[in-house]
Amino acid sequence: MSLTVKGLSKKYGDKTALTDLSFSMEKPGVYAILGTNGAGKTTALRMMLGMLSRDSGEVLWNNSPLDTRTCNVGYLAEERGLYPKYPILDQLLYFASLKGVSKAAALEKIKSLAARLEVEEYIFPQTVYTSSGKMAKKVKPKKPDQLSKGNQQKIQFMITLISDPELIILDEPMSGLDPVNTDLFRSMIREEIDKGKYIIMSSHQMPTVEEFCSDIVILDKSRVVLQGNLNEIKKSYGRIRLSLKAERDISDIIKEENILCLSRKENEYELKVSGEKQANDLLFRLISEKVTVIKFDLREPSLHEIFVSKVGAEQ
Amino acid sequence: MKGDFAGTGKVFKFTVAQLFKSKANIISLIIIIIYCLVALPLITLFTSDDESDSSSFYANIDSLYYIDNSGYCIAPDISALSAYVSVKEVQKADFTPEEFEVRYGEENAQEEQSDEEGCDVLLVFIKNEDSLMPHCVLYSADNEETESIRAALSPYLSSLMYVAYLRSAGIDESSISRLMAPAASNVYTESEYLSPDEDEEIIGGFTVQYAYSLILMLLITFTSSFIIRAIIEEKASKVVETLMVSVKPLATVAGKVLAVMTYSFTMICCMVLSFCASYFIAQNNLSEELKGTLSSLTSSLNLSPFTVLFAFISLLIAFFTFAAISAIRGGGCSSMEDSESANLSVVMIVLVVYIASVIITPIAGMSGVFSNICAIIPLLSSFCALPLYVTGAIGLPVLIISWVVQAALGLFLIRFGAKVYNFLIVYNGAKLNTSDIIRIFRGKELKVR
Repeated sequence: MSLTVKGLSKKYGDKTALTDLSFSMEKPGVYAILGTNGAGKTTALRMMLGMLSRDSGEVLWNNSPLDTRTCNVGYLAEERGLYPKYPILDQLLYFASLKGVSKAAALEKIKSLAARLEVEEYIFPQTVYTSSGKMAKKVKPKKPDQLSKGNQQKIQFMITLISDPELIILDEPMSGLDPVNTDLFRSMIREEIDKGKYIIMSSHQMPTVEEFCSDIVILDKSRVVLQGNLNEIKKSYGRIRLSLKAERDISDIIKEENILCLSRKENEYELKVSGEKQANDLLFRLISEKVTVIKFDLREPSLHEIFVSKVGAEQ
Repeated sequence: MKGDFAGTGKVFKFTVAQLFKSKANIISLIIIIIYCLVALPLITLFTSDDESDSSSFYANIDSLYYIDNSGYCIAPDISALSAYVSVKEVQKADFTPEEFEVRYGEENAQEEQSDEEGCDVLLVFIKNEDSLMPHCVLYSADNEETESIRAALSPYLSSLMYVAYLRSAGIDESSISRLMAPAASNVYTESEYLSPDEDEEIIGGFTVQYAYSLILMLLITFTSSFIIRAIIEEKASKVVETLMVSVKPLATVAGKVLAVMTYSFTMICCMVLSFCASYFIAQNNLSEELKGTLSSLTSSLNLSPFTVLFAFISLLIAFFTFAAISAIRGGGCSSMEDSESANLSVVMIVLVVYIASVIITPIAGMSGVFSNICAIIPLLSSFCALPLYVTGAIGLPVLIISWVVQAALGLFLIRFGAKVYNFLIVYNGAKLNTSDIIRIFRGKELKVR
């Protein structure tokens, strides 16, 4: 299986929404679409799914145009919602039926996903027992509009995964989640990756993207500003970030070595060096001046740093 | 195109299920059923109260005295009078009207008469100096009741005096009976005389036109907001993008329109069945007047099974066409707040077409060509075609062509509704007004507000 996106472009009158987005996924994994607000990420995803017309370009799934009715696609939209008054179980079964999942299979999937996401009480009637162990009453599940935003998001995530899709598109999947639920979503995404699913993710949470994604594209003002394999991109930048902690103030030495200090907190410095040689020279000098070095971490830039440097430079 | 309809059944099934599960809808349905069930028994109850009032007479009379100064030998009969008033005794007066007034004038001054008690009445039959017909002067012991007693006695006394007048003229009893029997003569044209049912058919045709048009108009105006709200539902709840991954807008719009139509038809069927049940419950106690009204209504409708079938098909297709217009307006909204103005515009369209049909249908019925044209004009035909067929202005082939035209228009409008719906999928909070929709129809560019 493969996914190929070729030259997607979209304009609204004079305003450009997306210019020439192309990428491909030859094997299962996660492809990240990153960008500032309004950069065109959601537009790209909607165009891929055929919800927005394209001015140019095509999306191929197994070398045939992607059709959401023939390809099993799970989509977690940025504009998330549920029918506010309809029972959640009915909604889940409805979306499963639209994907061609039988009722029995859907119920089984709903049970497993509900248990995984800890939302069974919002889907199935619960039996309340008295302290003596006798059944007191059956409690109806809540309506969607009575759920918290996080729990609603869990139900939406269930809808995305209910048909066990081969292609999963997640638009800001973690936004609005607390740390516990973020971890829960992460682990579920990890499970989908392990199952060999093709995932396209748009996110502002760089650590999450860094954790999952092998390839990225960064959009800024509707244009692609950086694209490729994440490891290779990082390698291309080299080890230019240095986290340094010393026992005393070494700001004079850093200045004399012509090293850019990005941030400082007491005697802990975040430095941008030109390469490994400049970092080593600094270390030799500190040792020669008998400065006790507590931390010396020379590394490649994080995705966050790459993103900020790229988009910041563009802006 | 077939692929675009894929999933219509599932959308329909889900929407119907939710419409019937909605507590508000269930309560509305129960209220309607109860209302229809009790309608006729309640009418019967109130009518029978009225009848019992009338059968307990406008007035209670203790003693009815009479003086015959007419010269026609007039004598009221107690058994005949009992059909009009409650009277205990009837006797010839042995006192003058002046003495009657003096006696009861004093009694009235001394004590107020209870409503339950009857009063004494004096009738004086007098000769009319201007004509040969006698007159009657009524004296009542209770001044407040005089008018109601007069109203109650008037038909009987008029008839009594007229019969007395006829007898005095030497007319025998059998001739008097014939003269007094109700009868009417009509003047017919030759064609009316040769085909006596034609008039009834025309009246029936007009009844069908008004009944059908009214039902259709009410059906559309009542369900328009349902359809619009159902169409907006996904956009308002932001579930539209999730839905659009699985189904196309055409399937969504078509499924929802059909679901609301099914729900509405079920409601109407419940109303009709409840009303029929109501009739069977109350039929033995229905007043003659109401029975007459109902039977004249059904007989004037002249409903054959085929007419009922054609009316049903026409109603269904016309409903579908106008439901599609509601779907277009609903497709141009993305929040529930917009539904009111959208609904208003649909109601206005329906009213305009309805009024046009009320004016045009009778005129069209006079000309064969004009009626055929009216029967196939889009939208107008929804209201016109069936009445024109029932009145015989158009034949079955033209009616069938009209159905085909309407169904094709309905399908086209549903497709256009899906286009409008699709236009607003990603513009949450935006709204298209009628001019925007017309621009989309004309394929022009549009800036969404």
